[in-house]
Amino acid sequence: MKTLFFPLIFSAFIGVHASANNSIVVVANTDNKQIQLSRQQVRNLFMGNALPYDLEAIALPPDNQTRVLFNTRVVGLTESRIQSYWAQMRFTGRKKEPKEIGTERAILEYILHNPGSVGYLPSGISIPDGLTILYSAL
Amino acid sequence: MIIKLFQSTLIAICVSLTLTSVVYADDDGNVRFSGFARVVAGYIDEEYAEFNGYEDRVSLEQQSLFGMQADYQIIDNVSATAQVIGRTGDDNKSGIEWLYFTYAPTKALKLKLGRQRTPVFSYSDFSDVGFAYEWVSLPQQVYQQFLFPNFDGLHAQYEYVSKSTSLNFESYYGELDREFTYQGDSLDVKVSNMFGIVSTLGYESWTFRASFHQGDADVTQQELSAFSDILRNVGFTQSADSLSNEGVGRFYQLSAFYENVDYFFRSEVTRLRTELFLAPDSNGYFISGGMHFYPFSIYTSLSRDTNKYSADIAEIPIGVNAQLDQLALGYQQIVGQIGNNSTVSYSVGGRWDWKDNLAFKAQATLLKERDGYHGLFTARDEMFGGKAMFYQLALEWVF
Repeated sequence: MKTLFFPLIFSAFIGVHASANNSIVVVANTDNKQIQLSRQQVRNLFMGNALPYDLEAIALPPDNQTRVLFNTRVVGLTESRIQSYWAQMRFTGRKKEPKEIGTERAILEYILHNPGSVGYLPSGISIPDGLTILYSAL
Repeated sequence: MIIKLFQSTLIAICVSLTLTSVVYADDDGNVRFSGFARVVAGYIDEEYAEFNGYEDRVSLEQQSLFGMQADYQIIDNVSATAQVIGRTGDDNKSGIEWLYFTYAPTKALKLKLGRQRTPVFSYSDFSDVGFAYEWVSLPQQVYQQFLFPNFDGLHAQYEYVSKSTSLNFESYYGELDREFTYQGDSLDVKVSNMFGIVSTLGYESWTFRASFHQGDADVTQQELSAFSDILRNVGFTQSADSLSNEGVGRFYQLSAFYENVDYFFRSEVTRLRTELFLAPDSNGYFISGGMHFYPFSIYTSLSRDTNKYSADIAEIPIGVNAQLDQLALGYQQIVGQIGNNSTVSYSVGGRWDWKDNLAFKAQATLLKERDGYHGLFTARDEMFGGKAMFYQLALEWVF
């Protein structure tokens, strides 16, 4: 048992340590430049809850590192619990999971061409004019 | 028939896994197919009793199941959904669990009309989707009810998200008419004027849920009804009434869940009050906690209940004549089959999410009847001491 747990705990620690050097921005294509979201609102938006804004969440696929970071820093759940949550929502007809787009570049491209769409990106990425940063997790 | 269906679906699962392709039909179109399956192996380490169909040999045929769902987007805010489940166990028939239209006039409001699973407790409406929770079996002492599994009617859901909290309100109204098997007995369950209200509050990593559900139930068990009619015909109306399975059922529920990337805690308290002979007044709860080491999770659970049946009536005179003695004996035999009881279970288990849509689970549970009459086990021998270890392995899949 010990031999199994030590690498796991160690890798969890490395994961947290590595994430401290990364940050996330949540970017939207919206006319309302005043929108600023709290972490809880961003979490709710990407977990399918209805915010009082006309925003459509777009997610990265499960194996993407930015998504892993977003899960840890903003949602506060592991990927397996997020998958469990969406299974619950889908088979009880409660909520629909966000559309998934393969890469950060492709997400940025999609947001640029689709008013109302919102996605999370690594903070290092250059954000084109016209898009609004709704939230940033430093 | 069901086993054959299950075998063929297992073959389909294996083929799909081999191809490692997911069976989404038409993701950009109007129809979307999805599904779930669970293969659950279990046995109890006890030769003198059975538990939910499990004996002291490994069985795959109690909880394994396969579900398919089709969603059809009719227009922008109207869709139709059907979900069919093929089961292996005896407790419920295979068939349509969900068949409804959804109308979403706004993002925050959603109305569903048709057959739906009843959201009685936190896990009630997705108890078949094992992928969605850690346990192999939901805590037995809380998730054992049979009165309100489904309803045909209207369900409304409204949500509100503020800076720091999310609020969700649900309400439904409908009826139910369905055959159901409970602990080996075939029951014809009719519930009218069924309604419920559910409120859920999300704050940081906490989720709190409180709900109330009520319905006018009429449960028929053939032999019991026949005997009750005989009693009534010969004038023993109190005895007949005491075996009645008609009346109001009320459920109350409170739960508090906490979860973050490292650990989780869940607790739920439930209370059922009925006027039915077959359904006792029950109080139950579970407490569970665990840790995540992605892609692994481990947990431990405690679950406990007390069940109180209505008292029997000593109305039929004994020693007057042979026919009355026989009637009195019959009555005593029936009421002797049930009795107040209290049970507990302690579980430890783990889950490994091998892929994003495929998980393995293991659970070991000590099941124990604490005091009073038989509460958990069936087919019991005199040698049986009222407790047994229950071991389970499961494969959970969604697609």
